Amino acid sequence: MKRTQLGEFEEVVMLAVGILFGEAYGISIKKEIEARLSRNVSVGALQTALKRLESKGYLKSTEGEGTPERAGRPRKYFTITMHGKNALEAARDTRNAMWDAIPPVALDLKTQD
Amino acid sequence: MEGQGPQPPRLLMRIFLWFCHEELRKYIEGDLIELYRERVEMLGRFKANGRFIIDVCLLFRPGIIGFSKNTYTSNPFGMYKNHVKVGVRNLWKDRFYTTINLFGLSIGLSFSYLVLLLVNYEFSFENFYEEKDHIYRLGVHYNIGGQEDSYSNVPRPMGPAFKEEFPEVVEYTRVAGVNGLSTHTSNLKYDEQYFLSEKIFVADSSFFNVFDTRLIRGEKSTVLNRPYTIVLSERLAKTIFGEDDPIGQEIETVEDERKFEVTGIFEDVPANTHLPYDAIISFYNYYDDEINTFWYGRHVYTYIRLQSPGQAERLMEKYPAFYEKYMASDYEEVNGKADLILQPLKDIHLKSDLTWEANKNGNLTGVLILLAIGFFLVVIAEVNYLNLSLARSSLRKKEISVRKVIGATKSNISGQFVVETMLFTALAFCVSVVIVRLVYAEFLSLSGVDVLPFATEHVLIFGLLTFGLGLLVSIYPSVILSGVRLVEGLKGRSKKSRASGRLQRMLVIFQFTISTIVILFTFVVKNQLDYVTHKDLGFDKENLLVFELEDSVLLKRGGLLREQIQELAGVKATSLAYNRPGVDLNHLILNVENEGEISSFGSQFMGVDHAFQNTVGLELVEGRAFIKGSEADAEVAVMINETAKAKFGWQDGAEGKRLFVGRDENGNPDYLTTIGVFKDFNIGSLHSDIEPIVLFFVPSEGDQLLVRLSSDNQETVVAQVNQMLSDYNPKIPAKHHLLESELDRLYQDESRLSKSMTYLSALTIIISVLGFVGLLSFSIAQREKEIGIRKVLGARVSSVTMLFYKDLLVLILIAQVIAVPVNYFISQKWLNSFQYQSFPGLFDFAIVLVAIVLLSLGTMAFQIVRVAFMNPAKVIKDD
Repeated sequence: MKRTQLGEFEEVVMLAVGILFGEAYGISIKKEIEARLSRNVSVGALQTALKRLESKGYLKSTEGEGTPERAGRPRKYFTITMHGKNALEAARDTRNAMWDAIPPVALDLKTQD
Repeated sequence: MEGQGPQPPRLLMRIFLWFCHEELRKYIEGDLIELYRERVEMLGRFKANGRFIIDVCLLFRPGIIGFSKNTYTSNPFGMYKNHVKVGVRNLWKDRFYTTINLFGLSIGLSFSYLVLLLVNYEFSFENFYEEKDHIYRLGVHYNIGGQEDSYSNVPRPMGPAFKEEFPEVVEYTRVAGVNGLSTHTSNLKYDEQYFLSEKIFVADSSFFNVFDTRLIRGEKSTVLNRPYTIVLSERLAKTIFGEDDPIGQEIETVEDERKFEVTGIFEDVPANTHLPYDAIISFYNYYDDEINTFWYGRHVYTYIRLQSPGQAERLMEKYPAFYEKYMASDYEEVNGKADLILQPLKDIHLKSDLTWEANKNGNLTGVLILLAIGFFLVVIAEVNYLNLSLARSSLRKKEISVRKVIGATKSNISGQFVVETMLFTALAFCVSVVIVRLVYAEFLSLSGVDVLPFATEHVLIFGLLTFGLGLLVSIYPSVILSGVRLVEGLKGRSKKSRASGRLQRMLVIFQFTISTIVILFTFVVKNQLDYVTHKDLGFDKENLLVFELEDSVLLKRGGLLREQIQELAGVKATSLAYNRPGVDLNHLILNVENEGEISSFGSQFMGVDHAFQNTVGLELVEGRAFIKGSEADAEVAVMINETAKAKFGWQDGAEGKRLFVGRDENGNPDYLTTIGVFKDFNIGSLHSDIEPIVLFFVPSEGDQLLVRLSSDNQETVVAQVNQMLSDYNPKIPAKHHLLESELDRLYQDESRLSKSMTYLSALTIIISVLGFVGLLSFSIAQREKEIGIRKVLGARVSSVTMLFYKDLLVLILIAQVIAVPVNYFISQKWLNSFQYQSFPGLFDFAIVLVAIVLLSLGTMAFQIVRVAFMNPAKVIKDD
């Protein structure tokens, strides 16, 4: 099996797509990330990430309706695929495993001083 | 929907849409618009625009840009390979046409390449000077007593005065040949050895500040600032001193036995300059101080360096005031006027042909004519190719149709033809490079220049030009052929399209027009050259030998020598003079007395002895010649030519008329008296008209020894005279030449042009006829069946022949009708540079035209006759 390594930004994007279930397209994802992470996301970076994720098979897209505020251009809605879900879970599991592996004392910063 | 809400900047959006990958385009565009509108509401238009710009910039990244990995990329290599393969097969299939075409095109290419080299060389003059556009040469245009002349040089005080008067003039330098203004040949003596150099000049110490030649030894500012110093070129220094250090050594000029100290060495000057120099002698004290102050006569070449190139015009504007201040008084005295000529250094070689040029300059007209012909040569050859491929197009319709059925697009088929043409062009290019290599030596001797044939940049430029032209030529057939109608092509109906037939005909007319013009013009040039070299100049130029006496030992004994030579067998007459026909003469201002009044006239003058008239063969029309030994003649007598007589207003008889020379110490006027008038003769080139000439009597003196031979025994006489001369052990041997060949050299440009024109016109006609032959054999092949049927029905050989000839004849005649007036126009322009012109008669022209027709038709006769005599059964039996 291919490595299912997710980059940090990719993971954030996937999670945002998950949160926005059914409503995830360029602008909404961008806003979601910006709101939750309080950082700016450029359209270019986001689109690149979306494209990469789609080509990796973690996301799939459907073409939505064109709306007046978009001057009739269609939206591209993203949903997470099974493969994507696996990748996200793998990411979370590795993290959790690593969290668990930290000896409690390492985080008990008060006692160390 | 678009109208609702604000729109992001249109241009940026278009840029984005242009680079964005197609799949993503509409979605991202939508996102951008949506975002933009939101921002406009929240932040205002200005900020929204700013953000938008940032967004678009950030979108310019690999994942978004159109040529991303996910596009389908075809591999067209296989297709090109197939194109080349089919191309090669096609060229091979039509070997005959290919050879004809290839031959024509490569000859055309190679000769235009040579022409290009030559033209490039001619235009490269002075380019090696870094600041060439700052340097100007001064010249003057005189009008003295109605005698006008333009000099390439100016009075000596002019340069210094220019620098003083005009802030624009940064520096000036005066230059003169070592042995007189335009005579820059001298023998240098070092260590008892003599070195002849033809490029020795005397120049001001500022010479190297005006001309940016680099000094290898010595400092620019100091090398020439002492009297009797000399700076040598690297080449000359090496010849004279070998490996020794030349600095501080002394060399001597043999003619006047002056010694010069070598103070510097400069980098060799390339040949492509109007003023090539191998040695520069310091101007300081070289001449008498007095003559450096003359505002009239005693000219030197003067170059100035301007602060910036654009200031020449300002100088011209300021000149009248300068003239008033310095020169007007001198010139009013002689009823004259001097206008300034400012020549940019770059223009001198091709555009300047003034009196007393330091070297023979190039000829712009000749260069342009060659350029035009070189260009047409290629065009004609390319037209051949175009024509043949159009003719062959009907044969290829089937192939194209099949390709189309299989799925070739129009551009595929165009591509096929472009590849084929390029293949052919590449082949022709290679062959032409070989041809250039073969004829290069001959070309060099003809053109008299030295250029590297295979300088990479030349070949590169030429290659580019060739392929550019090839591409251009491939456009038409590829467009025509890719537009073939499928069904028509498959059915094999080879109806020749009318448009392409008309085009073919026009192209043939075009070719023949050009080659006819070139041939007729060559004829005009040859005719004129023949005319000027054979025209009666007013004296007998054949069998006249000239010995130039430069050595002082010989000069002193001139009179004696003349008499000794006179005694030789085969010598008819001899004369000793200071001037001879065929070289530029100096001018003089004469105060002519006419009915008591004195007016100034400019005139050329010669100093000759009593035998000059007989030796040269002048015809006396009035009065008498100089009498041998007459002291009175030597003091007060002059002879004039008819033009002078007419100009001076002495129509009622010139004998006894006087020229005022000045007053003696007692205040009495001195006069020269005219004793005779001789028939006008052309002293120099027939480019110019005959000017007034005055002969002065200078007995037993002169550096030109003219020897009139009684018959063609030139060699023995030369040998005897040389023996006689060498008995005196001169340091500088006397040069000798036939006056006739020297006079012929005045038309060097024309004879060179005529020679190259002969080659080129032969080539143009050969290439045109070749194309014609190809075309014809093609149309014959197409009409073989028709001819067969005609013959079966009873057509005679002559009528079949006529069938083909009729068409061709019309085309050639149309071409000639166009060519004749065009040629007339061009020829007139060219002939205008001659005072004496000769235009070939109508009859001669007609002969040339008929010859062209006969030649073209004759070349095709073989093919036509073959088809006319063919056995009709052979072709008809196929069906």
